[in-house]
Amino acid sequence: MRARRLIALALVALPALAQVKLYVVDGKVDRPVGSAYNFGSVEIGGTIEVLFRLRNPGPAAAKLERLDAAGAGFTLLNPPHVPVTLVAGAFVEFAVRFQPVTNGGHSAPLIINNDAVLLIGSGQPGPTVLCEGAVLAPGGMLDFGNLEGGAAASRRYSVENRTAGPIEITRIAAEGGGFRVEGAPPLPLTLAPGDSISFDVVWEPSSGGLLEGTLNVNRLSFRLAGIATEPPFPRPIITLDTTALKSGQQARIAVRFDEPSPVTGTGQLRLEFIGPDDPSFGFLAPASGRTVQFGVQKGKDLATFGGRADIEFQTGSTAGTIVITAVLGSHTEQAVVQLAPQVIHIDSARGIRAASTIELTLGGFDNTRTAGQLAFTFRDRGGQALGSGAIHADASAAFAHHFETANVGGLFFLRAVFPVTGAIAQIDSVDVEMRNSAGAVVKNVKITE
Amino acid sequence: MRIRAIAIFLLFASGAAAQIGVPRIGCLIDGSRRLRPVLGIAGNFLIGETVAEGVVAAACSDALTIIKREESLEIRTREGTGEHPAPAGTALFGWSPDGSQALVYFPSSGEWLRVSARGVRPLEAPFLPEGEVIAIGGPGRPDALVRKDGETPAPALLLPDGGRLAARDAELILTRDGSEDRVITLPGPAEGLEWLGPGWVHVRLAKGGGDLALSLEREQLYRLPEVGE
Repeated sequence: MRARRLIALALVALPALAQVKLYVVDGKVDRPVGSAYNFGSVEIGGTIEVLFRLRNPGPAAAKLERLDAAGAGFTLLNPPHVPVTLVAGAFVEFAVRFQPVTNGGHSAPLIINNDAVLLIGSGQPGPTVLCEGAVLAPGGMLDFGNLEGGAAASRRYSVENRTAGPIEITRIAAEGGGFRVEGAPPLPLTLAPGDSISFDVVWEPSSGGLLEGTLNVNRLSFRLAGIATEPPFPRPIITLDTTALKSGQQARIAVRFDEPSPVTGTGQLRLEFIGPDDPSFGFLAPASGRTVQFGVQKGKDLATFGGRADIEFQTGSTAGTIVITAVLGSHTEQAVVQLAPQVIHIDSARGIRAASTIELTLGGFDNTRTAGQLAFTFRDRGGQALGSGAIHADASAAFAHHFETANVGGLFFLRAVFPVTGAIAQIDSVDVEMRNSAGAVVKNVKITE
Repeated sequence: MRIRAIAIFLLFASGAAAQIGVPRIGCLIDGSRRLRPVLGIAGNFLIGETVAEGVVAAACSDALTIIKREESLEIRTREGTGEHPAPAGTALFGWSPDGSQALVYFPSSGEWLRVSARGVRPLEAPFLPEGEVIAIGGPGRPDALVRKDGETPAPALLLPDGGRLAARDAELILTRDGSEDRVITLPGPAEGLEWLGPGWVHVRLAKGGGDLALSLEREQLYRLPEVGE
């Protein structure tokens, strides 16, 4: 009984006995921290942040019950919530910011459970940073105001040594938000008492909205901010490579501008068809469908489609109205093209003579989708009509059914077989007349073997 | 002058000898080795739904659809479908002018077939070209275009009328007997020439430049709709 109680006590006490150890994260390496950690010398108002890890190096779980830093100039950043149990090998991370408030030494205990590591650092007089004559407080914000995207603004800064001793300037840099430093002298340099240097902070926003950046002079940080507004895109001008567009055509659309675009961006080009739907109507290349994106480059007066200066499309095989819409920024421009009803277009035709039949095949489109009346006049080599003249047929119902069910716009293929009695070799050609609501078309088809 | 009596009848109304349908240009193979019909007319194309998968090479006309898969040859006609064992790999095709017959050449074995709606049979007195064959002629013109030593094989086709089509940089060179070469400018270099149909060539542009259709009759290029993967 006694032995069992001892084992139970040991199990409960073990986590409290295990120790966590403090490491400083130095690149990819964790270096153990002894009884003190020195942040070095930092300008008054400047900051330095150091990342630490508390690791449990032992084989058993360890508990972190207290983590605190108490002292002027030292601040814990993102400390873990305590208590927290660290299993063997686990760690927690946190950072300590040192921001000296006065000249001279600073110290604070970093309390870890019942132990303490001494954090030390010193404040020293730093450079004075001015913007256009006004002294800036470290951490303060400098507002660049409003600026139109594509434009640039700059402000003149100077760094002065108003202390009695020399100050080494190791870093002058701006980052984020489209801010950059121009005209700074080569660094590092030593600024003698009373000396100063100057440089520009240039803001050139590449996007719209509230943009923020940081100006760093040694370890002093200053916030930079400004609101960028997009400049207006130029009005897009829709250009077709043909003035007489009709059904059954391929053509190109370009989007131009009266003047070079002041800004880079993207727009949208849409094709709409007002009329019975036609699946063959739409963009072809470099993109398909009926809506595509186009790119606009600053300084260019021509939009691009996947790197090309125009985009190809086909008009389909149905009469109607094409509406081409270009949307760019606040502009919406349209071009409207009428595809007029036209007589049936016969694109291919072939007549084949067999022993006792003539097979006629025709391919084409009827953009009115009203084809119906057909007439076939067979002719001999001299052009004389054979048989009893034109053979008439009303194919209205068959064409109507085809256009309703095939979903190919006005496209059609017609195969007709004519039984022939008599001297079939006399047949040299056939005049095919096809009629729709726009009129009649006649095509002479040569008969071949 | 003797005039013979002739009577012509249109069997349209009966429906048995006349039909209305969708015009077909031919077919092509998409990026996923699916065979897709190309419907429409010059300047107004539609890519149809997949009609075969796992296709290595193919050729289509109104009368024939010839599908080469890895180790078989499928022939589709208006009357039905037949499948035949075939040597591994790709096949080359040559058309008759009307598309009713085709020659098929298997580069892996050197075998030739003559294909029509009546069936498939080996070519009598097969032509045995020496070297890498890059194009063949059609029935009645069992010719072959062979890659020369050290030459980079440029895409080429032998035409049913005895002519030749070859790609050179961003140009197509159309050579026909008795006429000067016709140079057709492409929007970019071609990486492949294949039969779209007996009178049509599928021009595949390099670097994702898209697909073109060349009408051999009109000697005119058209843009094909995006085929997709």
